[in-house]
Amino acid sequence: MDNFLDLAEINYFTPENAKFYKTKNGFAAMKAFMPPIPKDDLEVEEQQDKTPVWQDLGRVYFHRMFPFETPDEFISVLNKDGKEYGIIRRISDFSGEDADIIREALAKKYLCPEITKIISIKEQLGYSYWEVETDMGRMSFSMQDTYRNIARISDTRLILTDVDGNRYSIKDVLALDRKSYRRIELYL
Amino acid sequence: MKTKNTTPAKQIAAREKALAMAGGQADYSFDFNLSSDNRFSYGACVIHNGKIFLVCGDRTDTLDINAIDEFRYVNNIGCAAIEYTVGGEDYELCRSDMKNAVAMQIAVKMMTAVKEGRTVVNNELVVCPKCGRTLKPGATVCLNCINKKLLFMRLLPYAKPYAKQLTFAAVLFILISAINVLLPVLYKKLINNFITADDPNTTGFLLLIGAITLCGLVIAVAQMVRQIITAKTSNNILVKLREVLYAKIQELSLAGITRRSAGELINRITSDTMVLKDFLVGLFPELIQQALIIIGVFAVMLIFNWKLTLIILIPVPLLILMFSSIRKYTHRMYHRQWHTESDLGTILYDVFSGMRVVKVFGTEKKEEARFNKYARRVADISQRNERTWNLIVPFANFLLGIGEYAVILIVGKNILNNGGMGLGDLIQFISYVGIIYGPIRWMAYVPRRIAQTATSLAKVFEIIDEKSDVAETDKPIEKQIHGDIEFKNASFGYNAYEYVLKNINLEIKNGEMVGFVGRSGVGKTTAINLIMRLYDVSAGQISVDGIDIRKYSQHTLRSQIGVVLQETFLFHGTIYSNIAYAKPDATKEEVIRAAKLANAHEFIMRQPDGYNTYVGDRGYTLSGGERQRIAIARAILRNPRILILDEATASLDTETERQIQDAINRLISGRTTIAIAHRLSTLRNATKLVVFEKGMIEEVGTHEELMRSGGRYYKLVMAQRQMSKLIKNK
Repeated sequence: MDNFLDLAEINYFTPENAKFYKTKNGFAAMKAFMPPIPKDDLEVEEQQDKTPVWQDLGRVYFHRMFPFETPDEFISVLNKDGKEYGIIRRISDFSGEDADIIREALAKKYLCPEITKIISIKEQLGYSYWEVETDMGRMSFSMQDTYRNIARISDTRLILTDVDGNRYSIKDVLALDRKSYRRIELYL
Repeated sequence: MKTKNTTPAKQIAAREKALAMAGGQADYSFDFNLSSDNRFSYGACVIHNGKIFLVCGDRTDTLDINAIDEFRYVNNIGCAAIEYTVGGEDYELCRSDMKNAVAMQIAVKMMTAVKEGRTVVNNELVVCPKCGRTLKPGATVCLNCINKKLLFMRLLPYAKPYAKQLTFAAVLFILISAINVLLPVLYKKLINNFITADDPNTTGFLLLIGAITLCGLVIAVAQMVRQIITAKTSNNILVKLREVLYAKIQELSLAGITRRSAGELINRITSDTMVLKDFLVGLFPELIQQALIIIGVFAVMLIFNWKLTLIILIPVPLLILMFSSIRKYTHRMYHRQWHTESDLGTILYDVFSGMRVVKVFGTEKKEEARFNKYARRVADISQRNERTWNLIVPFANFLLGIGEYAVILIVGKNILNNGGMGLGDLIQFISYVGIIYGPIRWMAYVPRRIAQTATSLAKVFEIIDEKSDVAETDKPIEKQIHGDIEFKNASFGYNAYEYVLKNINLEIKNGEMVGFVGRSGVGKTTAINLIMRLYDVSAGQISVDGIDIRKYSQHTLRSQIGVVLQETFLFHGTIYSNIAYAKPDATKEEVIRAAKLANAHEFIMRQPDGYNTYVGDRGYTLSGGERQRIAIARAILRNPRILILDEATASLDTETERQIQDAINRLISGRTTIAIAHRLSTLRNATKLVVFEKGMIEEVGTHEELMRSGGRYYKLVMAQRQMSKLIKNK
């Protein structure tokens, strides 16, 4: 045995074995060339025909495996119950309509405005009130336990989570203007 | 307090439009703020009379709830949506960022209830009446809008029993202030009448010195007594508060407790009450003392020379401003230092508790580098802070001297010009300036400390005010139970939008042994938690001996149920105290019998200190099987009518399992037993098996019946047999 990790199989979706489409109401769905999906998970042990066939998987759900590091690579494709059909290695493996459908579905699942400017931060009674400019317009939100709700992804990359559970990203704190940087410096 | 009601006009317009569509009435309504492609928009939804009225930007929609098969709340990342299904096709109703997530969860529950013909009383959505923000489930106060003054008033009832002591302390407060004001007057007399006088009188001089010394002594004694009294009363208040808080937390339902982490609850009992103590013992008395002294000094100064007083007061607001800005700056400095220091602590904790992993993977060097990096950072920051601090402080002290310089200038000039003032007047005024200016720097910290205290107070009272969602009825029934259990249309969900158990109907007669079977996460454990009333059903009912369990006293009910869980928690203490935990008045003989029945006696006798062996957190470590047998002994000791075994024998080796099975078999005769097990062979003695799937009961029957019908149970058994065959063949 060469490498014991080879025992785990990864089913990668490529333009050759996967074709994405939209349902009537605009949800992402796909057809795939893969071994038949067992209907009942209890029958796994029984002998099954493993020859791949083209099949319509219907609506599928996407989940980023490394949402912070590589948002456009390693995307898990799941069914309604969270069972994985396969993995998209890179969105750029796909082109045209396929890529558009994947990108659109991800944009609908992940909402995380990018903060471009910090207008003000006020602290009061253990809460901090933020007024910011984002790529989706001007926003204000409040955070509790501010220091702990800022995830430091790297030395310069931050993800803020507000009291409601919304997320805001700062790709590079050092790229912020001086005033914005001064305002957030306290929490770095 | 600022009101943060900043609902945009467009949002209000959307709400009004949706309400108008519903004919001006709403059973339930909520806002949402995203369009289907995740762009910000303004939308509102009204549910009324079985219909959904939707406004999203310019688009409007009306839907009939009964024409829809299913409603779903979809939790995305940073946003949420409501979806529905008609004829197998999914549709999206609306989407929003997380601000409206709670309201949307409740909406889904409402719509589902309407569809199923149930009426749901909407008592879950708590909105802060001031700012309109939806409060998190479990929160009862909006920390943003809470009235700080009222909050402090709530401490009064706790102080009431100490009214006498506090009055005495108040007298001392006034006494100390009065002497503080008087002292400079004595000094003035000393200088004007004796030191600078042409012919001083020795007796008067000695008397005055004596008076000054006496004043000093009185201040010292009064302060001592005052401190003792305030410390004693505030500590008593603190203890009372902690008692009330602790009792309240225990009274809360498991749901109320698990909503918050253990750490958070510990924090509220220890840290938050500690902040209150600091306030009551330190800040508050000091604040009163200083305020009294300043008022007194101010009055005397005004009488003495009002012009000079006003001149001295001019820089005060300026100084307060300056010190509060310095405070903000230094606060930022030390905040950063504190955080980096705490990061360093986290790293150390991490590495030391994971030392085995570090050693096994040989990553000592890497960890060292990581530690050095953070240690360096702490050093850099604290070095910089020290430098800044040392630059600020002398300068600030110089500025504080401004008042004194002004006095020297004006009074000194007056003395030089022989304007009727003496050196004594100068000294008196300089002392007063010191008294007024002294606390300014300290005062800059007061608002922050008060705010901190208010936050802690709010958190403490939030718990004290919380209503337990597993409430005791007015006249709880206390009686010996027989052991018949019945689920009638029982449904339950941990959160508002998802039922974990749906429409469970099940009858368990006294003396039966029932096995709950199914994959993990299908609701088996939830079902037994409901029987123990750790949670209350969301709909339907569970009865014991034909009486709704909500009518029993919780203590009576639980004291007749014995539970053995997969994870056994042993308290820090001896084996004996851990077994006797279930029945504190048990005799030694009873405990030994219980241990024998549980097959635990033998291994206990192998311990060096027998039943007195220390176990638990810092004690002797027992193996999984040994802990399990202690748990069984605990359950036996109670002689319960209903016995619940939740995966009691999983993750044990076969020999131990057999021993424990023996123990259990001795236990179940004549009692109602409910057992959850993944290893189906464990349930061979069951009189009835209940197969759960996706929150519902799929099959009920004996082993033979279920094997014959060839359903899910049959498949599960077959799968396990194949597994064991595979293992044997290898």
